[in-house]
Amino acid sequence: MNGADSPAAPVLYRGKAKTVYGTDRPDRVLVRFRDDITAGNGQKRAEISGKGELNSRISALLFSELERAGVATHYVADGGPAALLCRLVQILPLEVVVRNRAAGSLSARLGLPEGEVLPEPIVEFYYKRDDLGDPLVNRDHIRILGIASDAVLERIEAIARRANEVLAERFARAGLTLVDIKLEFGLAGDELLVADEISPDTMRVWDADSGERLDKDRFRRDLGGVREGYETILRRLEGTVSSVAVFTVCVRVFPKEGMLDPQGRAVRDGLHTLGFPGVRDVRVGKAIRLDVVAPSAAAARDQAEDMARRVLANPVIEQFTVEAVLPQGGSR
Amino acid sequence: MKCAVIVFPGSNCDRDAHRAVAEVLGERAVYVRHDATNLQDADLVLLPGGFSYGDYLRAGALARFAPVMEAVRRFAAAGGPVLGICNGFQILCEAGMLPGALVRNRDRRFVCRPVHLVVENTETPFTSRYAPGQVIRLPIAHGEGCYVAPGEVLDELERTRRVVFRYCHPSGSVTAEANPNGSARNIAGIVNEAGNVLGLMPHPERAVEAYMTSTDGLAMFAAVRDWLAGPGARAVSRDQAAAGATTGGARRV
Repeated sequence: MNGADSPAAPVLYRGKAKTVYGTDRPDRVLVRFRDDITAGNGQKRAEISGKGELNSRISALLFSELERAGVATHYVADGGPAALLCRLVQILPLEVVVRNRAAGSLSARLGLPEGEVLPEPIVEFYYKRDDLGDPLVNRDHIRILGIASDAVLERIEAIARRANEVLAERFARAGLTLVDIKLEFGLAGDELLVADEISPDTMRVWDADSGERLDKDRFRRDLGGVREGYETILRRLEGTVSSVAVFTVCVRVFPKEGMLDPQGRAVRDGLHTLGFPGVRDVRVGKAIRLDVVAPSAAAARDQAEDMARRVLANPVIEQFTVEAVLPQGGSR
Repeated sequence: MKCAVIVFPGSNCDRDAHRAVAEVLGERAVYVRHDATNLQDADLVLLPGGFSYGDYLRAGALARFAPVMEAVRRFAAAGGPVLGICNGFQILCEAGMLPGALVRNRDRRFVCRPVHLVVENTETPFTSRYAPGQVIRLPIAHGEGCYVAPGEVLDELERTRRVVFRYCHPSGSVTAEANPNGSARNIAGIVNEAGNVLGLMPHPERAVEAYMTSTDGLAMFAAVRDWLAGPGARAVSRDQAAAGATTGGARRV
């Protein structure tokens, strides 16, 4: 599914550094990372050759890390050069920033020295409005703007904190410090998913020993070596092994509607005899639990659906459903 | 004639089939294991009854992945005669070599008894020794022999005369009472589009000698021998089969 290469693939959205294309599946999009880089709400622009590919690979790796930890994301699988295959989501106009150390606008606003470790990670919300300069907003603002109810915002905050925890730990293993991170969220039906990208464009990452900045601050502050910084992040992440991502998926197979189910009938008759006259119908099927190595829960599910279509269920006589079983501590 | 009897883990009618061909008919028969990749130059492939792979998942569902099935597919695609009996029929359906599926018997019981069948098509490599409309008697022994398929598939089978056997009353009339398992339209056996792949639930290999109370099954194996000596079979190139070519040479039914 690499529809973006064909002229027919429709552009659904073009942002400052990414383009989103439709695919042959209505619930999937292809997110292509471009080499464009911008700062100061688009006032400073450049192109850094290879940045799109780097950000795509870093995002894939970190989305996978979140998926593995049970944090639901829009990521499905690798989508070819500089692209990710993702679930189609409705992006909420909210930037959720989690900070572990003071830096950037927080230092400017509160006068905290850059690099100071905060007593605990803090969460900030920004309203995504280029024309307003993405203002800082609070819970009341978010509610009255109709972006999210308090309940949804609470879930967003919890997921953001969990994602920060997972990623900070992952960076630490790679000898890197996650200073802060900006997350965006999307809705797929009523599922809340971490969306957009997770790349050096959207977080601050420093070398754990030297404190060297390896992220977009190199561009913002004209430090040079932007691409090299991004490359260092990717290399360090790839050099430290991630645990294998195993997703548990349950395929339930039942006799097709209208198909006689003699077993179900026998069980129903037995239940009547046992004193459960209210049992109107019984269908006996089977549940098949699969542990699948995959880049994401959605990819594991796609695989299971394919397996169900091809062998686990016989389409002549059976129908099936596929359910992802949540990993322990998951936030789905 | 050389008959390859495919042996899957859990096959249990392989010896009966081998014996029917080798000892009763007096032709050659060899056992070919599920993990074989060639059919030892056989002229007839027989998928016997039993419970291949323990009927896990669904009857026949896992046998289709056995390495030997790739060779069977090539053999069938090149027009070679393939006979699937009972579990063999289930395997052929699961493998997509025959349409439809076999599900649990309507009455939930394992049914083991002789049944009567009316032969509806005698122009197949397996049925030329029967007379059109002839009633034969063969045993069945299965728990999941209820043939089902979408209505349009059943209509297509009827229209192209691919229903070869139907369960019937000894008089030959096809009635609901004569249907031992609830099969759609009393279907007991069908062939593929090219006519060279037959699947049936009854057991012809268990009706080949007088002491078995019926010898009606023997004619099925003898018919294949006739067919192999005839013009239809000569069109089937074994070399093509070995090379995996898919040019069907069997006569259409």
